[in-house]
Amino acid sequence: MAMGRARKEFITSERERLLEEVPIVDEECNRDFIKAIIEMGGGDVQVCLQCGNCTGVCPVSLKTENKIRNIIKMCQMGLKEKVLSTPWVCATCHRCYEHCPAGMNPAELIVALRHIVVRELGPPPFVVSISNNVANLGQAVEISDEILNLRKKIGLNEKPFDERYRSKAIMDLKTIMKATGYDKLIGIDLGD
Amino acid sequence: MASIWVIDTKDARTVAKYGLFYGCLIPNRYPGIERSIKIILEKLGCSQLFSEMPQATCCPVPGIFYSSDKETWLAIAARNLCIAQDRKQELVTFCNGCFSSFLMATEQLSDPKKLGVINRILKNVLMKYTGIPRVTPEGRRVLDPIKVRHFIDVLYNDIGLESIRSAVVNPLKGLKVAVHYGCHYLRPTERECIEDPVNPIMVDEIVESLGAESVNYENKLDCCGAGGGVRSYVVDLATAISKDKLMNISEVGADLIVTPCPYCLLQLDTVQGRLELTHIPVFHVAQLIALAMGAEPQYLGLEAHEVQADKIISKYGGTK
Repeated sequence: MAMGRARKEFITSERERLLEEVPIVDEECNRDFIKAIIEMGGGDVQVCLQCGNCTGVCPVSLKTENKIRNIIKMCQMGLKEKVLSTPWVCATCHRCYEHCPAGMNPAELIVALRHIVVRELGPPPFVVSISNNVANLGQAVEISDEILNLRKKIGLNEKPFDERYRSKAIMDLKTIMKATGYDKLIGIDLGD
Repeated sequence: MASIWVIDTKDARTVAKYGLFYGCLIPNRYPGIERSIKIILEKLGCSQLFSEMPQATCCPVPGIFYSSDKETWLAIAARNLCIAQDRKQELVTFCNGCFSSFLMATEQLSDPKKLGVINRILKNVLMKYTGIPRVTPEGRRVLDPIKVRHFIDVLYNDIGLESIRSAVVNPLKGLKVAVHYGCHYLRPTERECIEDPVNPIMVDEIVESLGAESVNYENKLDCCGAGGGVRSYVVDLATAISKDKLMNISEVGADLIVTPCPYCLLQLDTVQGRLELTHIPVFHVAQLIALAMGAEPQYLGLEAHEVQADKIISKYGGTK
């Protein structure tokens, strides 16, 4: 089947997030923001030269208004409010890191921003539900009846895990999550 | 050896070189991959080198745990590494996400300060990460970090293409395969890489050793769009990124997409079910190898896939 040239699609989001469209006022610049970022492990944010190599290879930047170069600049300027709506839109593919002439790791910056979002605005719903799965099942993915049947049909044990080991493993995970305070951070109930 | 993890003695005696770490998606969503792995290892005559890790849990998924609390992520990853450590095994993953998570974890645990913090947490579950003790030729005792391996790496470097080729009974002649490597197989290069991230060859060569043709296409090394929480957070964006890839793959006339990652498989497969623009079946590398090695097609668990592979199965399936 002959197909035409693949057409690239662009996903639009709120344009006002774009740095160049909104004048920045002094009050918006939060000087403590950079400290918080460094604390969360995104320390090399200040070495960014704004060359834009990261943005040119970023699958998300090519499709949305979330240009990674702009996000980095906004972090440097302390534009916290503008930045905190962006970090879950990153595939952590690390192409930015591979192409950065300054040796910065923008993907790690995004992870640091996610840490800040989780602590200040709360985790997005999918983080809560997957964390719940891991705490209660030991696995991120829930199994359905169809898959249980399929497992049996193709000659595997119907249950993917040996119950004896499973209950101990889940107990371990809950203990770890309590010890690090993850349950409180994400807002999941691990029981007693 | 100071082993803190108490496992039953039968288990402790089974010392295989590699521990199989299936992760979450393989047993719970695509069990055909798990079956295929077992078939391959049997056909290659090396199943005694591998043992399962029933005590293991989620790696845990880096897009969720590494992104929200690095300490919890590292402690859970270290708990899994401890299981391999106490059995003196190399940990083999079949998923780019698990691979990336564990590789990153072993690297971070080489920092004594972090190791101390994590071991204080692991003490609560009676575990301790140290690495595997080894005596050097000079008689010095050292601790080696757990070796984290991707199945592709084990197949290519430890088992070898020749062994794979000689176990093929259904050569996949005429099958055009588009290989999708996936991001975390290739990057970041700051840590030990499986192979050259700008010119990877292992999966292509494995595919060709099965008799199939690996076709090149634009943006072969690009992301599937799903990783890092994008699929869960903005599904439209993940779909758009996948669509670009699928269009390029369909342009070169590929019959099949093959990937070493079940999460990329999930994305590239379910997107096609939703968009109905292309109908290219997506296999995990293990499923394709099992097919070429003469596995009964029903063991590949293809019912769990959205895009059905009937044409390919009727052409290449079944022992001949």
